[in-house]
Amino acid sequence: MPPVARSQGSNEMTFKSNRRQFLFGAAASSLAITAAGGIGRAFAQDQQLVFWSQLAGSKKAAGEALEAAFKTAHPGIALNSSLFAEPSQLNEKILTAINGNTAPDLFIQHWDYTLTYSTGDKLADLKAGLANVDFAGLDASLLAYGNIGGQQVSVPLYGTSRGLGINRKYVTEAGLDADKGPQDWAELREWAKALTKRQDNGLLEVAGLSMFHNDLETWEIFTLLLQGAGGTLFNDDLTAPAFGGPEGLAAINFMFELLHTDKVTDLGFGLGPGGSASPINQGRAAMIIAGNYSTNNALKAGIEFDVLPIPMEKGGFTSLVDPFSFAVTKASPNQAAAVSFVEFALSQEQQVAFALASKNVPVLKAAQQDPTVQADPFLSKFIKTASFAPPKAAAIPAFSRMVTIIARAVQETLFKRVTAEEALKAAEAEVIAVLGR
Amino acid sequence: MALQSSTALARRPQSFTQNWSAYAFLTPALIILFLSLLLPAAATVVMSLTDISFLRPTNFVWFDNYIKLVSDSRFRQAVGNTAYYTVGVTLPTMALGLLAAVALNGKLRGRIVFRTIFYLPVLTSLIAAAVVWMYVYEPYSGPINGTLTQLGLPPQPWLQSPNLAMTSLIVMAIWRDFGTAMIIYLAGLQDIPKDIYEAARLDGAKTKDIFFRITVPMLSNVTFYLMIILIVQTFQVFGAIYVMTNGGPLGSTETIVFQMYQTAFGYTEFGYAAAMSTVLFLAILLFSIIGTKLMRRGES
Repeated sequence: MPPVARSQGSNEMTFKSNRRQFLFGAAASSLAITAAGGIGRAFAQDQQLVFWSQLAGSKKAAGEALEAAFKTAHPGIALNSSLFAEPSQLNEKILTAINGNTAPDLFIQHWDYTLTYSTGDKLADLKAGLANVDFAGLDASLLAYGNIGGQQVSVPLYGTSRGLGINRKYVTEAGLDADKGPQDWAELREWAKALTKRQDNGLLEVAGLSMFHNDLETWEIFTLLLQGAGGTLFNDDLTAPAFGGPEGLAAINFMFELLHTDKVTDLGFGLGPGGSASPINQGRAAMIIAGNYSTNNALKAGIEFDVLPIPMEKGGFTSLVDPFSFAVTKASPNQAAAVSFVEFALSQEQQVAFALASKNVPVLKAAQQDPTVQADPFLSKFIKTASFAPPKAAAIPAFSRMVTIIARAVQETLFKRVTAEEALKAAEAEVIAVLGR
Repeated sequence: MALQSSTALARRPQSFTQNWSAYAFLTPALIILFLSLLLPAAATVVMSLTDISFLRPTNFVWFDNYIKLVSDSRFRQAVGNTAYYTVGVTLPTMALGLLAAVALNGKLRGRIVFRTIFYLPVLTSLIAAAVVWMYVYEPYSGPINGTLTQLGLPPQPWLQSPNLAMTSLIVMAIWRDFGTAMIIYLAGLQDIPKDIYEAARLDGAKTKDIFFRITVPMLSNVTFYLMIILIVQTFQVFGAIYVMTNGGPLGSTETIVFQMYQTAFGYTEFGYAAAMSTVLFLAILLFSIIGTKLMRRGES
C-alpha cells in the first residue's frame, strides 16, 4: 500500500504542477493573442483604406476595374474592399458596424440609406472634404440626393434614370411610331390600350403598360405621374408633404383608369423574382417604367428594347434619378485616403470608363457628354431622360418609410379599398407624423 | 419503504461546497448560455424601453414603444397575419403528418420510398423552395393556373391578391413542414405497444375506433410537442415571405418578424422593433408554458 500511496501523491503533485502551469500558460497566451490582435488591428486600420462596396451585379466588372485603376494610381494606399450583393445586406452591415465602431472608412450605397446614416452625424461633409472636386461640374439632380441640412453627406459615383422602356417590335406591329413616343398622358393611354393583348377569356397575354411589381416601383410610378401632373412630393423646404393635392389625385386616377377602365395590365402582374423573369424580358409587357438596369436583361432575352422619355399630362417630359453614392465615415482614421478614392472615381477618365462598363449615368457632366458615352445607344438615352428629372430631391432621412406609406396608399386605391382622396389624406397624415419624429 | 428512502435521499438538497466540482464543470457552459442567450434577451427587453436607433443618441422612453404598439394598425395587422399563418400551418401540418405516419407505419409496399419523398421538402433550401413555388403560383404560366385553365376554371392571382397571398404561403409551408410532423409521429407510433392494438382487435374494435381511441390518445405527448415546435416555428416565419411577397400585397403577408426586420433595418427604429420582439417572445413563452402543462397533464 505505501508505495501506491506515494505514487498517488507523486501523481497528484505532478498534476497540480501541470494544471498551474497550464492555467498560467493559457492566461498568458490569451493576453498575448488579444494584445497582438489589438495592435495588429490598429496597425491594419491605420494602413488600409477599408471600403465597403455595393458595386455588384451589372456594376461588378466596372467596380473591379475602378478599384484596380486606383491601386495602380495610388500604390501607397492599401485598398481593402468588401463587396455586398444587395443594398439591404450592406445596410445591415453598416448599421451594426456603426454601432460597434467598426464602420469602414468609405462605402458606396443607395442614396436613401446614406441619408438615414447621416441622422446620427456619422458621416463627413464631403463638400468641404473633396477639395479637388468642382461641384458645379457634377449633375445637380443626382447630387441633390446627398444634400441634407446644408451638408453633402454623400456624393454619387453614378445614377440611374427612369424612362419608358418599350418593346419596339410590339410598338411597330401596333402601327405606333417607336422613335417619337407618346407626347402626353392621352397619347400614353392610347399607346397602352393599343399594345395590350388579352385572350378571349380575358387572360392577359401582353400588358400594354406594366405599372409596378413592388412597393418601390409603386412609389416610382406615382411620383413620375405626380410630377407629370405638375406636383411634388414635398414642399420647397421638405418640411411637409405636398403629394395629397389635385396633382396627386390626378396621378392616382390616371393609374386607376389605366388599370380598371382600359385594363392595360392586371394588379400584381409580373410580381416575381425580377431580372430575366420580369414581364418585359419575357415578352409579356410592351411598356414599363425602365431604368438603366433594365437594358442588359432585356437585350439578353432577345427583346427589341428601347427607351423613350416619360410624358407629362399636358406635354413635356419628366423622370427620376436614383444615385449610388460614396460616403466617408466621420470616425474614419483614413479620411484622406477615402477622399483620394472618391476624387479618383470622379475624374473624367474613371467616370467615362465606369459609365461605359456599367451602362449607368455618370455624375460628372463632362463625362455625360463624352463622345464615347454618347455613342452608346442606351446610355445616351438614359442620360437624356435624366435631364428631365427635377433638380430638387426628396432627400429626407425617413425616405424609405415614406415609400412604403405612399405605395400602400396607391395600392389601397387600386384595390378599391378606399378612395384616392382618403388614401392620400391618410398617407399625408402618416408622413407628417414620420417627419415629426 | 426502501424506494421512499432512496427517493428522499436523491431529493435532499446538497450544499454548494459538496458539489463545487460539478458547478465548476458547468461554469463554462453557463457562461456561454448567459452570453449567447440570456444577455441578448435581457438586452432586447432593455432596448425595447428606449428609442435606440444605432445612429442617434439613445433615450429611455420606458413603455412608449409598447403603448405605440397597441395603437399601431400595421402591427395589429401583422399580429392577425401571424395568428392566421400559425393556425393555418400548424393544424393541417399535424393532421397530414399524422395521416401520412399512420399510412406509412403499416406494411405498405414502398413505404421507405414514400417516407423519403414526403421528407424531401424538409431538406430543401427554403429560399430555393420559395423561388420554385413562385413559379408554381405564377398567374400566367404557372402549373396551378395552367391546370385551372385546362379545366375551364378562371386563373387565380395566388400571390398578387391580398385575399389569397397568405393562404398561398400557408400551402407552401404545409408542403414543406408536414414531413417533419410525419417523422415525429412515426417515432411516436413505434413507441405504442403492439399488444394494445391486438387486445383491441380481439375485443372487436373497428379501425376507426382504434385510431381515435388508442392511436390519437397514445400520441398526445407527441402531438403537444409537435404543436409547440410548429407554433414557435410559424410565429417566426420570415424567409419565405421575404422572398415571395416581401410582406405584400397591401401588407397582407406582413408577419410580426417581417415587420420587426423592416422596422429595425429599414426604418432604424431598433427600440420599437425590440418591443415587437419582446411581445413575440412573451407570446411564444405563453404558448410553450400552456403546451408543456398540457403535455404533463397528458402524461399523468
